[in-house]
Amino acid sequence: MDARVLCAFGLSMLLGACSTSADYKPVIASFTDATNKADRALQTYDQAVSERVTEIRKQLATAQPRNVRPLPGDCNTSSERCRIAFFEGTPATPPKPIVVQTLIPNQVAAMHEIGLYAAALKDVAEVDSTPAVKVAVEKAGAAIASLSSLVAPGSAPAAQAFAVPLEEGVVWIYGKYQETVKLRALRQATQAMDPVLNDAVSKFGTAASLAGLSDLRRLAQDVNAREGAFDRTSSVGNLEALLASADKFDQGLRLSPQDIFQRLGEAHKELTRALKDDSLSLADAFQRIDRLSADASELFKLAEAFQQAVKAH
Amino acid sequence: MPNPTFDDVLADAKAQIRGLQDSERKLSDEIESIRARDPQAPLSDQDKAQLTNLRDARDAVLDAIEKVALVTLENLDNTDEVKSLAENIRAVRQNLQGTLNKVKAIGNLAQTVSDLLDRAGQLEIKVKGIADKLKT
Repeated sequence: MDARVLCAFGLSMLLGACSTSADYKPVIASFTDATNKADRALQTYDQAVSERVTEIRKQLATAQPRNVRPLPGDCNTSSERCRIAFFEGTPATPPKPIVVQTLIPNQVAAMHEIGLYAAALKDVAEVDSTPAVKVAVEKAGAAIASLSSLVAPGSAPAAQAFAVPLEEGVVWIYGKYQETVKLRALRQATQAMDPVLNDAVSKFGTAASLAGLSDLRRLAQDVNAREGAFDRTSSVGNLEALLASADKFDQGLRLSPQDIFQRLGEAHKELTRALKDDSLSLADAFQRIDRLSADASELFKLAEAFQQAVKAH
Repeated sequence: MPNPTFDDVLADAKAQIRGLQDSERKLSDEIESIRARDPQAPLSDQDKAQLTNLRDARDAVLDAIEKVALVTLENLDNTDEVKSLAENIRAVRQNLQGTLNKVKAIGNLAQTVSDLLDRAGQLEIKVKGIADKLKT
Protein backbone atom coordinates (compact mmCIF):
# COMPACT_ATOMS: atom_id res chain seq x y z
CA MET A 1 0.00 0.00 0.00
CA ASP A 2 1.16 3.52 -0.78
CA ALA A 3 2.80 5.17 2.24
CA ARG A 4 0.59 8.26 1.89
CA VAL A 5 -2.58 6.14 1.88
CA LEU A 6 -1.36 4.32 5.00
CA CYS A 7 -0.59 7.63 6.66
CA ALA A 8 -4.00 9.06 5.79
CA PHE A 9 -5.68 5.89 7.06
CA GLY A 10 -3.72 6.05 10.32
CA LEU A 11 -4.57 9.71 10.81
CA SER A 12 -8.21 9.13 10.11
CA MET A 13 -8.38 6.26 12.61
CA LEU A 14 -6.71 8.42 15.23
CA LEU A 15 -9.05 11.32 14.62
CA GLY A 16 -12.08 9.07 14.39
CA ALA A 17 -11.46 7.72 17.90
CA CYS A 18 -12.29 11.08 19.50
CA SER A 19 -15.78 12.30 20.34
CA THR A 20 -17.08 15.06 18.10
CA SER A 21 -18.09 18.60 18.93
CA ALA A 22 -21.62 17.65 17.80
CA ASP A 23 -21.86 15.60 21.02
CA TYR A 24 -21.43 18.82 23.01
CA LYS A 25 -23.61 21.09 20.87
CA PRO A 26 -26.83 20.74 22.93
CA VAL A 27 -25.09 21.11 26.29
CA ILE A 28 -23.12 24.15 25.09
CA ALA A 29 -26.30 25.67 23.63
CA SER A 30 -28.05 25.15 26.96
CA PHE A 31 -25.10 26.69 28.85
CA THR A 32 -25.23 29.71 26.53
CA ASP A 33 -28.95 30.09 27.20
CA ALA A 34 -28.46 29.93 30.99
CA THR A 35 -25.58 32.41 30.80
CA ASN A 36 -27.72 34.86 28.84
CA LYS A 37 -30.44 34.66 31.48
CA ALA A 38 -27.93 35.24 34.30
CA ASP A 39 -26.51 38.16 32.30
CA ARG A 40 -29.97 39.70 31.96
CA ALA A 41 -30.68 39.11 35.68
CA LEU A 42 -27.49 40.92 36.73
CA GLN A 43 -28.27 43.79 34.35
CA THR A 44 -31.79 44.03 35.77
CA TYR A 45 -30.45 44.07 39.34
CA ASP A 46 -28.05 46.82 38.29
CA GLN A 47 -30.86 48.86 36.75
CA ALA A 48 -33.02 48.39 39.86
CA VAL A 49 -30.31 49.43 42.33
CA SER A 50 -29.28 52.33 40.10
CA GLU A 51 -32.87 53.58 40.12
CA ARG A 52 -33.00 53.13 43.88
CA VAL A 53 -29.71 55.02 44.42
CA THR A 54 -31.03 57.81 42.16
CA GLU A 55 -34.18 57.94 44.28
CA ILE A 56 -32.15 58.12 47.53
CA ARG A 57 -29.86 60.82 46.12
CA LYS A 58 -32.83 62.87 44.93
CA GLN A 59 -34.30 62.67 48.45
CA LEU A 60 -30.97 63.77 49.93
CA ALA A 61 -30.60 66.51 47.35
CA THR A 62 -34.01 67.99 48.09
CA ALA A 63 -33.35 67.79 51.83
CA GLN A 64 -29.92 69.45 51.50
CA PRO A 65 -30.35 71.77 48.49
CA ARG A 66 -27.07 73.64 49.01
CA ASN A 67 -25.14 70.40 48.65
CA VAL A 68 -26.41 70.32 45.07
CA ARG A 69 -23.78 72.17 43.07
CA PRO A 70 -22.04 72.18 39.70
CA LEU A 71 -18.82 70.18 39.51
CA PRO A 72 -15.77 72.46 40.02
CA GLY A 73 -15.25 74.60 36.92
CA ASP A 74 -18.52 73.48 35.31
CA CYS A 75 -21.54 75.49 34.16
CA ASN A 76 -19.85 78.75 33.01
CA THR A 77 -19.77 79.98 29.44
CA SER A 78 -16.03 79.28 29.48
CA SER A 79 -16.61 75.70 30.79
CA GLU A 80 -16.48 72.56 28.72
CA ARG A 81 -19.28 70.83 30.64
CA CYS A 82 -22.20 71.59 32.92
CA ARG A 83 -22.81 68.79 35.44
CA ILE A 84 -24.76 69.12 38.68
CA ALA A 85 -23.70 66.76 41.47
CA PHE A 86 -24.43 66.04 45.10
CA PHE A 87 -21.64 66.99 47.54
CA GLU A 88 -21.76 65.19 50.86
CA GLY A 89 -19.37 64.44 53.68
CA THR A 90 -15.96 66.03 53.85
CA PRO A 91 -14.56 68.19 51.04
CA ALA A 92 -12.28 65.22 50.25
CA THR A 93 -15.28 63.00 49.45
CA PRO A 94 -15.78 63.01 45.70
CA PRO A 95 -19.12 64.52 44.59
CA LYS A 96 -21.67 62.02 43.34
CA PRO A 97 -23.94 62.18 40.31
CA ILE A 98 -27.59 62.49 41.29
CA VAL A 99 -28.86 60.34 38.47
CA VAL A 100 -27.08 56.95 38.35
CA GLN A 101 -27.20 55.01 35.10
CA THR A 102 -25.27 52.01 36.38
CA LEU A 103 -23.94 51.25 39.84
CA ILE A 104 -21.81 48.24 38.90
CA PRO A 105 -20.56 48.90 35.34
CA ASN A 106 -17.47 46.70 35.69
CA GLN A 107 -19.40 43.66 36.87
CA VAL A 108 -22.06 44.13 34.23
CA ALA A 109 -19.30 44.36 31.59
CA ALA A 110 -17.63 41.20 32.93
CA MET A 111 -20.91 39.27 32.95
CA HIS A 112 -21.57 40.47 29.42
CA GLU A 113 -18.13 39.14 28.43
CA ILE A 114 -19.11 35.75 29.88
CA GLY A 115 -22.20 35.86 27.68
CA LEU A 116 -20.02 36.55 24.64
CA TYR A 117 -17.68 33.74 25.69
CA ALA A 118 -20.60 31.31 25.93
CA ALA A 119 -21.82 32.46 22.50
CA ALA A 120 -18.30 31.88 21.08
CA LEU A 121 -18.30 28.35 22.56
CA LYS A 122 -21.60 27.74 20.79
CA ASP A 123 -20.29 29.20 17.51
CA VAL A 124 -17.18 27.03 17.63
CA ALA A 125 -19.26 23.91 18.37
CA GLU A 126 -21.56 24.73 15.44
CA VAL A 127 -19.20 26.14 12.79
CA ASP A 128 -18.72 23.80 9.86
CA SER A 129 -16.78 24.60 6.72
CA THR A 130 -16.97 20.98 5.48
CA PRO A 131 -19.79 21.78 2.98
CA ALA A 132 -17.67 24.54 1.40
CA VAL A 133 -14.65 22.24 1.30
CA LYS A 134 -16.81 19.50 -0.23
CA VAL A 135 -18.01 21.80 -3.03
CA ALA A 136 -14.45 22.98 -3.73
CA VAL A 137 -13.08 19.46 -3.79
CA GLU A 138 -15.87 18.21 -6.07
CA LYS A 139 -15.22 21.08 -8.45
CA ALA A 140 -11.52 20.31 -8.34
CA GLY A 141 -12.28 16.69 -9.22
CA ALA A 142 -14.46 17.78 -12.15
CA ALA A 143 -11.76 20.22 -13.27
CA ILE A 144 -9.12 17.47 -13.19
CA ALA A 145 -11.38 15.22 -15.32
CA SER A 146 -12.05 17.91 -17.92
CA LEU A 147 -8.43 19.01 -17.97
CA SER A 148 -7.37 15.43 -18.58
CA SER A 149 -9.86 15.21 -21.47
CA LEU A 150 -8.22 18.25 -23.02
CA VAL A 151 -4.73 16.89 -22.58
CA ALA A 152 -5.54 13.29 -23.36
CA PRO A 153 -8.94 12.92 -25.05
CA GLY A 154 -10.86 9.90 -23.76
CA SER A 155 -9.17 9.83 -20.36
CA ALA A 156 -11.97 11.70 -18.51
CA PRO A 157 -13.88 8.60 -17.30
CA ALA A 158 -10.67 7.13 -15.87
CA ALA A 159 -9.76 10.43 -14.22
CA GLN A 160 -13.30 10.75 -12.81
CA ALA A 161 -13.15 7.19 -11.42
CA PHE A 162 -9.94 8.11 -9.61
CA ALA A 163 -11.16 11.53 -8.48
CA VAL A 164 -14.43 10.51 -6.77
CA PRO A 165 -12.96 8.37 -3.95
CA LEU A 166 -10.17 10.90 -3.52
CA GLU A 167 -12.72 13.74 -3.13
CA GLU A 168 -14.67 11.78 -0.54
CA GLY A 169 -11.47 10.95 1.34
CA VAL A 170 -10.27 14.53 1.37
CA VAL A 171 -13.64 15.82 2.62
CA TRP A 172 -13.83 13.13 5.28
CA ILE A 173 -10.29 13.77 6.53
CA TYR A 174 -10.93 17.52 6.50
CA GLY A 175 -14.09 16.96 8.57
CA LYS A 176 -12.09 14.98 11.11
CA TYR A 177 -9.33 17.60 11.18
CA GLN A 178 -11.91 20.31 11.74
CA GLU A 179 -13.41 18.35 14.63
CA THR A 180 -9.99 18.01 16.23
CA VAL A 181 -9.33 21.74 15.93
CA LYS A 182 -12.75 22.58 17.34
CA LEU A 183 -12.59 20.16 20.25
CA ARG A 184 -9.08 21.27 21.16
CA ALA A 185 -10.23 24.90 21.15
CA LEU A 186 -13.29 24.11 23.28
CA ARG A 187 -11.16 22.17 25.77
CA GLN A 188 -8.48 24.84 26.01
CA ALA A 189 -11.00 27.65 26.35
CA THR A 190 -13.11 25.97 29.04
CA GLN A 191 -10.02 24.99 31.03
CA ALA A 192 -8.56 28.49 30.81
CA MET A 193 -11.92 30.07 31.66
CA ASP A 194 -12.82 27.82 34.58
CA PRO A 195 -10.86 29.59 37.37
CA VAL A 196 -11.68 33.04 35.92
CA LEU A 197 -15.37 32.23 35.64
CA ASN A 198 -15.58 30.78 39.14
CA ASP A 199 -14.00 33.89 40.57
CA ALA A 200 -16.34 36.09 38.50
CA VAL A 201 -19.59 34.30 39.40
CA SER A 202 -18.70 34.39 43.08
CA LYS A 203 -18.36 38.18 42.78
CA PHE A 204 -21.62 38.50 40.79
CA GLY A 205 -23.38 36.41 43.47
CA THR A 206 -22.14 38.83 46.13
CA ALA A 207 -23.35 41.77 44.05
CA ALA A 208 -26.77 40.21 43.48
CA SER A 209 -27.11 39.44 47.21
CA LEU A 210 -26.25 43.03 48.15
CA ALA A 211 -28.71 44.29 45.54
CA GLY A 212 -31.24 41.87 47.02
CA LEU A 213 -30.76 43.48 50.47
CA SER A 214 -32.19 46.68 49.02
CA ASP A 215 -35.34 44.77 48.09
CA LEU A 216 -35.45 43.03 51.48
CA ARG A 217 -35.33 46.45 53.16
CA ARG A 218 -38.46 47.46 51.26
CA LEU A 219 -40.25 44.19 52.07
CA ALA A 220 -39.29 44.32 55.78
CA GLN A 221 -40.50 47.91 56.09
CA ASP A 222 -43.76 46.94 54.44
CA VAL A 223 -44.34 44.14 56.99
CA ASN A 224 -43.42 46.59 59.76
CA ALA A 225 -46.00 49.10 58.51
CA ARG A 226 -48.73 46.47 57.98
CA GLU A 227 -48.26 45.12 61.48
CA GLY A 228 -48.55 48.65 62.86
CA ALA A 229 -51.76 49.17 60.90
CA PHE A 230 -53.16 45.88 62.20
CA ASP A 231 -52.32 46.92 65.79
CA ARG A 232 -54.21 50.17 65.30
CA THR A 233 -57.23 48.57 63.57
CA SER A 234 -57.48 44.78 63.84
CA SER A 235 -59.73 44.37 60.78
CA VAL A 236 -59.77 41.37 58.42
CA GLY A 237 -58.56 43.69 55.65
CA ASN A 238 -55.51 44.74 57.67
CA LEU A 239 -54.84 41.14 58.66
CA GLU A 240 -54.93 40.05 55.00
CA ALA A 241 -52.65 42.92 54.04
CA LEU A 242 -50.19 41.85 56.75
CA LEU A 243 -50.28 38.20 55.63
CA ALA A 244 -49.77 39.12 51.96
CA SER A 245 -46.88 41.42 52.87
CA ALA A 246 -45.25 38.71 55.01
CA ASP A 247 -45.66 36.23 52.18
CA LYS A 248 -43.77 38.51 49.78
CA PHE A 249 -41.01 39.02 52.34
CA ASP A 250 -40.83 35.26 52.85
CA GLN A 251 -40.35 34.71 49.10
CA GLY A 252 -37.63 37.35 49.05
CA LEU A 253 -35.83 35.76 51.98
CA ARG A 254 -35.88 32.32 50.40
CA LEU A 255 -34.33 33.56 47.18
CA SER A 256 -30.56 33.17 47.06
CA PRO A 257 -29.05 34.88 44.00
CA GLN A 258 -25.62 33.87 45.24
CA ASP A 259 -26.54 30.17 44.84
CA ILE A 260 -27.68 30.66 41.26
CA PHE A 261 -24.44 32.35 40.22
CA GLN A 262 -22.53 29.64 42.06
CA ARG A 263 -24.45 27.04 40.05
CA LEU A 264 -23.39 28.82 36.87
CA GLY A 265 -19.79 28.21 37.93
CA GLU A 266 -20.53 24.58 38.77
CA ALA A 267 -22.22 24.04 35.40
CA HIS A 268 -19.17 25.41 33.63
CA LYS A 269 -16.93 23.15 35.70
CA GLU A 270 -19.05 20.17 34.63
CA LEU A 271 -18.81 21.22 30.99
CA THR A 272 -15.03 21.59 31.32
CA ARG A 273 -14.75 18.11 32.85
CA ALA A 274 -16.97 16.54 30.18
CA LEU A 275 -14.92 18.13 27.38
CA LYS A 276 -11.64 17.17 29.04
CA ASP A 277 -12.48 13.55 29.60
CA ASP A 278 -14.29 11.71 26.77
CA SER A 279 -15.15 8.84 29.06
CA LEU A 280 -17.32 11.02 31.28
CA SER A 281 -21.01 10.99 30.61
CA LEU A 282 -22.50 14.21 29.40
CA ALA A 283 -25.68 13.41 31.32
CA ASP A 284 -24.47 15.14 34.50
CA ALA A 285 -23.54 18.28 32.61
CA PHE A 286 -26.93 18.23 30.83
CA GLN A 287 -28.83 17.81 34.07
CA ARG A 288 -26.93 20.52 35.91
CA ILE A 289 -27.11 23.02 33.06
CA ASP A 290 -30.82 22.38 32.47
CA ARG A 291 -31.52 23.09 36.15
CA LEU A 292 -29.31 26.15 35.99
CA SER A 293 -31.25 27.45 33.01
CA ALA A 294 -34.53 27.13 34.94
CA ASP A 295 -33.00 28.76 38.05
CA ALA A 296 -31.55 31.61 36.00
CA SER A 297 -35.04 32.24 34.57
CA GLU A 298 -36.39 32.47 38.12
CA LEU A 299 -33.59 34.85 39.10
CA PHE A 300 -34.38 37.05 36.12
CA LYS A 301 -38.08 37.12 37.03
CA LEU A 302 -37.27 38.11 40.62
CA ALA A 303 -34.83 40.77 39.48
CA GLU A 304 -37.57 42.12 37.20
CA ALA A 305 -40.08 42.13 40.07
CA PHE A 306 -37.55 44.03 42.19
CA GLN A 307 -37.05 46.57 39.42
CA GLN A 308 -40.82 47.05 39.04
CA ALA A 309 -41.15 47.49 42.81
CA VAL A 310 -38.47 50.20 42.80
CA LYS A 311 -40.25 51.95 39.92
CA ALA A 312 -43.62 51.74 41.67
CA HIS A 313 -42.20 53.07 44.94
CA MET B 1 -2.49 54.27 49.47
CA PRO B 2 -3.33 51.02 47.64
CA ASN B 3 -6.91 50.37 46.66
CA PRO B 4 -8.72 48.11 49.14
CA THR B 5 -9.22 44.58 47.82
CA PHE B 6 -12.59 43.00 47.07
CA ASP B 7 -12.32 40.85 50.20
CA ASP B 8 -11.40 43.86 52.39
CA VAL B 9 -14.40 45.85 51.17
CA LEU B 10 -16.71 42.87 51.57
CA ALA B 11 -15.46 41.92 55.05
CA ASP B 12 -15.93 45.49 56.25
CA ALA B 13 -19.44 45.67 54.79
CA LYS B 14 -20.44 42.29 56.20
CA ALA B 15 -19.34 43.37 59.69
CA GLN B 16 -21.38 46.58 59.41
CA ILE B 17 -24.43 44.78 58.03
CA ARG B 18 -24.19 42.09 60.73
CA GLY B 19 -24.12 44.79 63.44
CA LEU B 20 -27.15 46.51 61.94
CA GLN B 21 -29.01 43.22 61.56
CA ASP B 22 -28.38 42.52 65.25
CA SER B 23 -29.97 45.87 66.07
CA GLU B 24 -32.88 45.08 63.73
CA ARG B 25 -33.46 41.75 65.49
CA LYS B 26 -33.33 43.37 68.94
CA LEU B 27 -35.88 46.00 67.89
CA SER B 28 -38.14 43.30 66.40
CA ASP B 29 -37.91 41.30 69.63
CA GLU B 30 -38.80 44.39 71.65
CA ILE B 31 -41.79 45.14 69.41
CA GLU B 32 -43.10 41.60 69.70
CA SER B 33 -42.52 41.42 73.45
CA ILE B 34 -44.70 44.54 73.96
CA ARG B 35 -47.39 43.11 71.67
CA ALA B 36 -47.31 39.72 73.45
CA ARG B 37 -47.23 41.11 77.00
CA ASP B 38 -50.99 40.83 77.56
CA PRO B 39 -52.64 39.50 74.38
CA GLN B 40 -56.20 39.78 75.75
CA ALA B 41 -55.92 43.44 76.75
CA PRO B 42 -55.93 46.33 74.26
CA LEU B 43 -52.65 48.20 73.80
CA SER B 44 -52.25 51.14 76.16
CA ASP B 45 -51.45 54.60 74.77
CA GLN B 46 -47.98 54.26 76.22
CA ASP B 47 -47.50 50.89 74.43
CA LYS B 48 -48.76 52.40 71.19
CA ALA B 49 -46.33 55.29 71.42
CA GLN B 50 -43.49 52.93 72.28
CA LEU B 51 -44.35 50.66 69.35
CA THR B 52 -44.40 53.62 66.98
CA ASN B 53 -40.96 54.68 68.18
CA LEU B 54 -39.58 51.15 67.91
CA ARG B 55 -41.00 50.68 64.40
CA ASP B 56 -39.52 54.00 63.29
CA ALA B 57 -36.18 52.92 64.73
CA ARG B 58 -36.47 49.58 62.92
CA ASP B 59 -37.20 51.38 59.63
CA ALA B 60 -34.14 53.57 60.20
CA VAL B 61 -31.95 50.51 60.79
CA LEU B 62 -33.34 48.91 57.61
CA ASP B 63 -32.54 52.10 55.68
CA ALA B 64 -29.00 51.95 57.06
CA ILE B 65 -28.61 48.29 55.98
CA GLU B 66 -29.71 49.24 52.47
CA LYS B 67 -27.35 52.19 52.39
CA VAL B 68 -24.37 50.04 53.41
CA ALA B 69 -25.34 47.44 50.77
CA LEU B 70 -25.59 50.05 48.00
CA VAL B 71 -22.37 51.82 48.92
CA THR B 72 -20.61 48.43 49.12
CA LEU B 73 -21.91 47.46 45.69
CA GLU B 74 -20.37 50.57 44.21
CA ASN B 75 -17.10 50.16 46.14
CA LEU B 76 -16.74 46.50 45.17
CA ASP B 77 -17.19 47.40 41.53
CA ASN B 78 -14.29 49.84 41.82
CA THR B 79 -11.80 47.27 43.18
CA ASP B 80 -8.91 46.31 40.92
CA GLU B 81 -10.03 42.66 40.87
CA VAL B 82 -13.45 43.52 39.46
CA LYS B 83 -12.02 46.07 37.02
CA SER B 84 -9.74 43.39 35.53
CA LEU B 85 -12.44 40.68 35.35
CA ALA B 86 -13.83 41.65 31.96
CA GLU B 87 -10.31 41.85 30.53
CA ASN B 88 -9.42 38.34 31.78
CA ILE B 89 -12.60 36.88 30.30
CA ARG B 90 -12.07 38.73 27.03
CA ALA B 91 -8.57 37.20 26.66
CA VAL B 92 -9.98 33.64 26.78
CA ARG B 93 -12.80 34.53 24.43
CA GLN B 94 -10.42 36.04 21.89
CA ASN B 95 -8.43 32.77 21.72
CA LEU B 96 -11.66 30.94 21.03
CA GLN B 97 -12.60 33.51 18.44
CA GLY B 98 -9.23 32.80 16.76
CA THR B 99 -10.19 29.16 16.23
CA LEU B 100 -13.60 30.14 14.99
CA ASN B 101 -12.02 32.51 12.48
CA LYS B 102 -9.57 29.78 11.42
CA VAL B 103 -12.36 27.30 10.63
CA LYS B 104 -14.35 30.04 8.90
CA ALA B 105 -11.23 31.05 6.93
CA ILE B 106 -10.90 27.49 5.60
CA GLY B 107 -14.53 27.68 4.49
CA ASN B 108 -13.86 31.04 2.81
CA LEU B 109 -10.72 29.66 1.18
CA ALA B 110 -12.68 26.67 -0.11
CA GLN B 111 -15.27 29.12 -1.48
CA THR B 112 -12.51 31.08 -3.23
CA VAL B 113 -11.12 27.84 -4.69
CA SER B 114 -14.63 26.97 -5.92
CA ASP B 115 -14.98 30.38 -7.56
CA LEU B 116 -11.55 30.07 -9.17
CA LEU B 117 -12.43 26.62 -10.47
CA ASP B 118 -15.68 28.01 -11.87
CA ARG B 119 -13.69 30.65 -13.72
CA ALA B 120 -11.17 28.04 -14.83
CA GLY B 121 -14.08 25.96 -16.16
CA GLN B 122 -15.32 28.91 -18.21
CA LEU B 123 -11.81 29.47 -19.52
CA GLU B 124 -11.54 25.80 -20.41
CA ILE B 125 -14.77 26.04 -22.46
CA LYS B 126 -13.29 29.00 -24.32
CA VAL B 127 -9.98 27.17 -24.91
CA LYS B 128 -11.91 24.13 -26.13
CA GLY B 129 -13.90 26.37 -28.49
CA ILE B 130 -10.71 27.89 -29.90
CA ALA B 131 -9.14 24.41 -30.26
CA ASP B 132 -12.27 23.18 -32.11
CA LYS B 133 -12.14 26.20 -34.43
CA LEU B 134 -8.45 25.61 -35.12
CA LYS B 135 -9.19 21.96 -36.00
CA THR B 136 -11.84 23.00 -38.55
